[in-house]
Amino acid sequence: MRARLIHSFTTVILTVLLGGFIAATLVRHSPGFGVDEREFDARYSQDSIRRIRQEAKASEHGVLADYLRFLSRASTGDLGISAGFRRPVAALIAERFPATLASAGAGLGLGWVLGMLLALAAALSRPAIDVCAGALAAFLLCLPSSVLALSMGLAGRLDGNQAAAAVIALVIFPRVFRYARAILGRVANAPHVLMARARGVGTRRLVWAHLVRPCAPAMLALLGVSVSVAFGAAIPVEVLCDSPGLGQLAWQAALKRDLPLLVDITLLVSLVAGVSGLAAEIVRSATAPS
Amino acid sequence: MKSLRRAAMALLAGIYLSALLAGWLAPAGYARQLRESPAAKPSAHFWLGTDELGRDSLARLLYGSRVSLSLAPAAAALATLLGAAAGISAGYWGGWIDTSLARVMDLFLSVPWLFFLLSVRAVLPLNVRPLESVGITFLLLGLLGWAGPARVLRSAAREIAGEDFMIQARARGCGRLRLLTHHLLPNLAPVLAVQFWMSIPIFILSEANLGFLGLGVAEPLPSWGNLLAGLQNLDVVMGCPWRLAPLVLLLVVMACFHLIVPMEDFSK
Repeated sequence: MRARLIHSFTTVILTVLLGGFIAATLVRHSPGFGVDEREFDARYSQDSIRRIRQEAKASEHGVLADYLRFLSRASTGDLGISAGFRRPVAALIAERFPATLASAGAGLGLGWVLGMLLALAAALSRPAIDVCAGALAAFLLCLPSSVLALSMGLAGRLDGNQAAAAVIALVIFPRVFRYARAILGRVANAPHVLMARARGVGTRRLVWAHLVRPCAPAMLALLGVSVSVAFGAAIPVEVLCDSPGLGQLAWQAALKRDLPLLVDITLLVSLVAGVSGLAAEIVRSATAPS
Repeated sequence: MKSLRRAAMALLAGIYLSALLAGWLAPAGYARQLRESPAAKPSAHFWLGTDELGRDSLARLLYGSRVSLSLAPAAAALATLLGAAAGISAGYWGGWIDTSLARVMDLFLSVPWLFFLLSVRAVLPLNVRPLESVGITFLLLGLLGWAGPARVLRSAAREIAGEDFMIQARARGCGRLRLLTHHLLPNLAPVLAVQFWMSIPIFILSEANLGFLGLGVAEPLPSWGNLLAGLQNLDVVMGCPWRLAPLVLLLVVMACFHLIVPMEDFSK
């Protein structure tokens, strides 16, 4: 168990590091990389521009060397300076991360609670709930998250962060509901559950001991994936709901082609998704029946 | 369910056919600006009215549907092909090929899909011609979306490779290539088809999200992404409900895809 966890954790870290290296290589070879804004300033002479280019070239040491230098700086909390925002990347991320964490956390919580409750109600032979929740889930799955974010604009009463959380909940709910409905539906018709019902076991005990607990490991496996979905949805949602989080920052960085900042954000989000997947795996292993 | 599926396929075919006949159904064209009738209401001349620039909304919807419904399947085919190549190789050959390909799949799947798409899109030039933007958008979707199908195909290939008929064929001296082409691939065809069909709506939604963010297909070429972006002006939309036509069409198309093949909800 311990060895497996260490292996999983190492895999997450190595995946993020390798992803970072690939991203750094992509950035280095992207069109326009390393072009200094001063090169377009008419006040600089051809000779000055040539020297600016030489200085820039002298500061480059190959992708791997630069990446290793970045990692050593990052280990001390220095992620460099954003070219687009002219501010330290670490400060920008520290400013925006809590908003995304709060909206994604609230959205995940709300989406999971709603999805699980409705799936339970549907599994416990409530056909009307099954049909209505199924139709709502199918409807929500047909819509891009940006359109859902726009619908929050129609609702109007929520502030940016609340609207972002609500939209993320609407993105998470149908996925949790459909998955939980399928698993709970299977378990609800299992012979031991029918037997428990026939013996008059109370609803609370039936739900907890015979439905929720056996399904918990399978549902927990989805938790990590749902974190990834929630963070992915955060980009259009935060942009359209005007919530000052990482998603909005990533979009602004993309429009400004501030690639190092964008790569930093993407790596951070991947790390969060990877670690949550790992945490879900730990809980799943701990709760799985031996 | 079978009849519903057939109806959904017929409806999709009908929508695609009308998108292909856009030039005939809406001869005004998607880019022509009729300055004398901006933001016009639906009429016999303009069935869905015109936008603020005086462009025929029906023409833009039909041409946009043509772009999205032609290129999303093309991107899905590319992603499925790449996924098949990686997944089947990993599942069939096993060993270090499997380990290394599985790591690459993990790498692609570890980044939230939209963050991944946004990052790679930003690496490429942003100010490009409309046709180039179409190529970049859908090529990116195809090139980056292979890991999901690959993971599914890898486990399917592993499962089939261990089946009795495969062991028997190997015992009878069947070569590796023949095993692959005559025994493995035909049995994987249904999985391939499902992966292809599942990727299409995912790519349509991804393009819509990118379009909303201004990083998808560039104007004046329409696509569902930039047509939906037009809904951002809520005051205008509330007063002119016919402007919701792209959203309604997207909903209908997505519902059809959901009926044709059940979605793997957490794939992207």
